[in-house]
Amino acid sequence: MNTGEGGLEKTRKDYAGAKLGMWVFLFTEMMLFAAPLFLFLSYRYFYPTHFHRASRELDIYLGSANTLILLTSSLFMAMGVGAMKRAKERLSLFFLYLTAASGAAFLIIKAVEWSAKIQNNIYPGSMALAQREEAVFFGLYYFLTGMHALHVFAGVIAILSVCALAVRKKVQADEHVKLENAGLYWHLVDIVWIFLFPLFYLA
Amino acid sequence: MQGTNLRPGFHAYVLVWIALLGLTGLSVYSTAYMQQGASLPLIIAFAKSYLVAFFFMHLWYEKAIFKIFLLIALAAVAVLWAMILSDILYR
Repeated sequence: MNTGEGGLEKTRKDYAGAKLGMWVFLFTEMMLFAAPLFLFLSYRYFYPTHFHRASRELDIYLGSANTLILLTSSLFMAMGVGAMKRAKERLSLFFLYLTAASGAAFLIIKAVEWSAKIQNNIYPGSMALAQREEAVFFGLYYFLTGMHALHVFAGVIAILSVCALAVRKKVQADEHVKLENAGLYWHLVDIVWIFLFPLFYLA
Repeated sequence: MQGTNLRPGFHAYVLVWIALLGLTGLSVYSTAYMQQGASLPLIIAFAKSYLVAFFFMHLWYEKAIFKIFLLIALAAVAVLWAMILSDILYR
């Protein structure tokens, strides 16, 4: 669509292209997480009992709580994008702030979980852990959940940036591709956790 | 407007969310009754990511090119996994 209603030239915007570009970036993220996950699965194949024992040491309640929080935040995000498309900017901002708050809650719970483990001498490079057979499990646990937490943090920053743009009307009903791409990123972070949760907590 | 696609509606999002919570409950519940290293939680994880990708991320409503791109990416991951498997199973 090159022309507006009055026959005026409008800048042509390739929304499908912008979204497809985001998807291609998400595929590279998928590769980034798939490789260490395959490493995890290979080690689990060789040492099933050690992995099972180590998995039981993780807090299933905190892990499940974080799963619920991320799944719900994805719902908020989808609602936020839907509201923006329907030109309900205030409702959309409300959902986006809820999404960012859920992301923050996820990180706080993750920090509580990590602190408890670190106090029990379970952390990368710990001498006490190095003597145990579960060391590989916890090494991958810190690497993968740490990388995921970084992505959650980046997602919260992305959502808040889009909120700032929405407040200034730079993102609105007919100009929402930035919000949609931030949403795609957030959902990918959710999908990564969907795989991390059963692999680490339910092994 | 650039022909904004309003589908799916809010009620569909809520239904998908309920399904996601149900599947999560099922995978947590199942581990209490299954032998270690059971693959059901992993299969459920694939079902959950399908729901997120196709409804929350609107893949269901996108043009075919998006799904073709996804297939190519998944094929690349499958090749990587096949090569790792061929190594660890036959060493």
